[in-house]
Amino acid sequence: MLLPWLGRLHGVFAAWVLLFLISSLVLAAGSGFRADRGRYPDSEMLSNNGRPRFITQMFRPEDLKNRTVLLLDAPADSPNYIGMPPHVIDNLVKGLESKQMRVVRTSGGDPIPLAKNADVAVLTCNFQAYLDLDFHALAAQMNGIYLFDYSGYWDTAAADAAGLLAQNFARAYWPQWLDPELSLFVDYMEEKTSPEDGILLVPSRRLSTTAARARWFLALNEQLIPRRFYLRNPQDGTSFVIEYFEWVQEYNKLQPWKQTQKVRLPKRDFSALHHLSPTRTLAPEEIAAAQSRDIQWILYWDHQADFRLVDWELVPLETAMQWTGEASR
Amino acid sequence: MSLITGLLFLVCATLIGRALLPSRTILSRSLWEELGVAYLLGTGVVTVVITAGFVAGLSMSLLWWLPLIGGIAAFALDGQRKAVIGNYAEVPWTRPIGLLLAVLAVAAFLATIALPLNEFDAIYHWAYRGKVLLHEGTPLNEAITGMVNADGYGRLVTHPNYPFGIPILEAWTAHWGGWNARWVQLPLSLWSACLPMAVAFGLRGYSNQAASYGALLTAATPILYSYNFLEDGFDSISMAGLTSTLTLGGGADLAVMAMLGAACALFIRARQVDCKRAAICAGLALAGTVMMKNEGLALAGVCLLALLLVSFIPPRRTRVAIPFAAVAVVSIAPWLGLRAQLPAIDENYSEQMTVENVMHYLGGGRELVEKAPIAMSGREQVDLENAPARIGLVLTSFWEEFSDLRSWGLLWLLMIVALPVTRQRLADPETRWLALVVLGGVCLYLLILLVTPWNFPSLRDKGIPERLLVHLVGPIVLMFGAALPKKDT
Repeated sequence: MLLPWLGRLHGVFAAWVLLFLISSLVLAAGSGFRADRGRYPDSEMLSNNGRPRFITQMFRPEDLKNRTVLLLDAPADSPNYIGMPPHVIDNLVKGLESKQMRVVRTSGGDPIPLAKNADVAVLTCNFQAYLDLDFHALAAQMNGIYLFDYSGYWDTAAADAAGLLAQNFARAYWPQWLDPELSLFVDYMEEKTSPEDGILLVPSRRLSTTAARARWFLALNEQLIPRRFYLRNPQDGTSFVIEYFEWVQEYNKLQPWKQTQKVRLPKRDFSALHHLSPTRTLAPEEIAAAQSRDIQWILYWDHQADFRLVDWELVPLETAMQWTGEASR
Repeated sequence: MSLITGLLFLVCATLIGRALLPSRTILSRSLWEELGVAYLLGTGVVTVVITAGFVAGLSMSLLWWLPLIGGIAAFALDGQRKAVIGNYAEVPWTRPIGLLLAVLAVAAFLATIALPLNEFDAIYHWAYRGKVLLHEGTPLNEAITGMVNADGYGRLVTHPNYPFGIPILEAWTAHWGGWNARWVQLPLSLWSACLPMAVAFGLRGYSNQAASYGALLTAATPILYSYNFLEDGFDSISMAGLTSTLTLGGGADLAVMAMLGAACALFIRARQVDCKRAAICAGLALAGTVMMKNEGLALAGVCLLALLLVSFIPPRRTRVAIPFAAVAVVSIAPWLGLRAQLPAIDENYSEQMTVENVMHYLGGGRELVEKAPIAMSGREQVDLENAPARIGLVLTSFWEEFSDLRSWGLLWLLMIVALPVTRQRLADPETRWLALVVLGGVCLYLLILLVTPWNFPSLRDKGIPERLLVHLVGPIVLMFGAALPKKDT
């Protein structure tokens, strides 16, 4: 008697299964049968204490008193408000002011007129007017180029096009392959390279994060196949997160970038931030790796958890070799 | 176009599987049981044959034709066999249960293709390989083999020695019309729908009631679709079908589960009616299990070892045991040949599974806390002296899984109450074999996690051990069904 009875009890879980399947189908239909980033949990600011070090470290300590921070905030009781809690914003303001920086708060108002001579603009929430911001108008008003996105809502590609460097400090919960800038860059790579091409991935400098999300090369490798991507020590870089950490540590210990020189570009193909290009000359082992394989391109990148157009530059191998040759003369 | 190719695959694989199955007069079955088992068997055979083709140096563009030709030949053969194959048996379930099974099967199929591939393993492990097969025609290509080189530079591929079952199915679908991240999942969309049918087929030899129960219990097991659903409360319902806790889709764990379930169902029927052909089919399905994920190889080893152990007690039934084992070994061999040519950079469980290692952890060897992500990133100092024993963490995680109703329902309780502990159950050789497969599988995964060179809590965060234990759903339900009272045998 016990077995059939237990079996019937287990059968009740069919209702649980149905709830899951119906929810999945209805929600998928609601997003047009696409994996929509909007369905994932809201991005969260990485720091919940409002310490201002990310901003203050951008400038020399003695220069802080001459700098202005534009803080794009809004009342936390605004409809559908998502962003930094008010007390964290207050902490941030206090922290900046204690360093003698000038802070201008928009408090839900139009940020463009207030942005005059601002060195840094900080987004604290998802207030719609801030998300629809005209970055060109903002860039025209600002003194600096730095945008600090503490809520993860700014379109960093649009900011880049206006010559502004947006840095995302919020943790995103949607998966890596849904990143809009990644999609733009994949389209660009598809247009620029031919399917038979070989591409050597070269970090521009020290790998600055161990965030697993920073492994954008996995997405590029998968999405751009049959293009051939090559990486140093890929068996660790592509493996479990532990091996990936070791890959980061090993690269930073090896320091191949120390044998090279930065190369500033007068114009960049995709990013408007030409003076922040990740380009450099090649180290001897990178030259050897490129020359011993059928490689046409060098893809320089700056290792970041957020995919930003500014961090990526595709350069023909001959050009990179030419830079290296000129630098060694 | 890849939608049509995907649907064509479903038809071809089913036709191939049907042609391989013994006559219905020998192995009675309903239409739905036959379709479920035939699809799994056909899919397993396709992956085995194409893998063998790769070893022989043939390319995907040539091998692509084999399932199509096989499907057409099977269709032609079907017409000729009609006179001897016999009629379908009645379905073992009542109309309401049949309706529920149909609703769950259709909903699972639709939920699989409702979104394009959207999970790490599905994209980076499997879709990448599928694209390699589509573009390069073979896994013996630099895109898979070119990872490790003397100068330290190489191609990017995650876990290069994973098998090619899922990628073969995806590449086959993409052959006409190109890669479509939604439609390449079509051949992968029927695992949850087919397993209940395979279980019903396997239990029909016990009783219609057991077959009906088996199908329903299998279909009602939540992890066939997702695990940890609503773990964070009802608000998280908005994430249904999105997170990595989805087992439906482009991953390989359900494929292993379905193939192993089909292999077990076919084998116990083969033993019951002493049918060599069914045993051969079971061997092919077991080889199909191996083609789907690297754990399949270990599970095949468990199945064969269990067979060896039950053979010590009569009835030995070597007439079916030998073909089953021989066909499985011969069909797996090409994959082993291919695997030997692929870089083995990680997940080499056999290397870790030394007596010394096992004894170390069984004796309280500590967790590798220094390999935790937070420690590796330098964000936290590790306390090596107070690191917990690995065995405790692994056993706790197994207990958490066994008692996690939202993922498993009462499946593990059903397993425990169905173990052959009574004289009557022990007298059934099929139950003995199933019990050894289930317990062997659990012990295997426990040992693997005990000696894993990675930080176990990190693996736990990634859905281990549940993503391994799901492979055992088929034999568990078969064992439970076999233990049910035989009212209408």
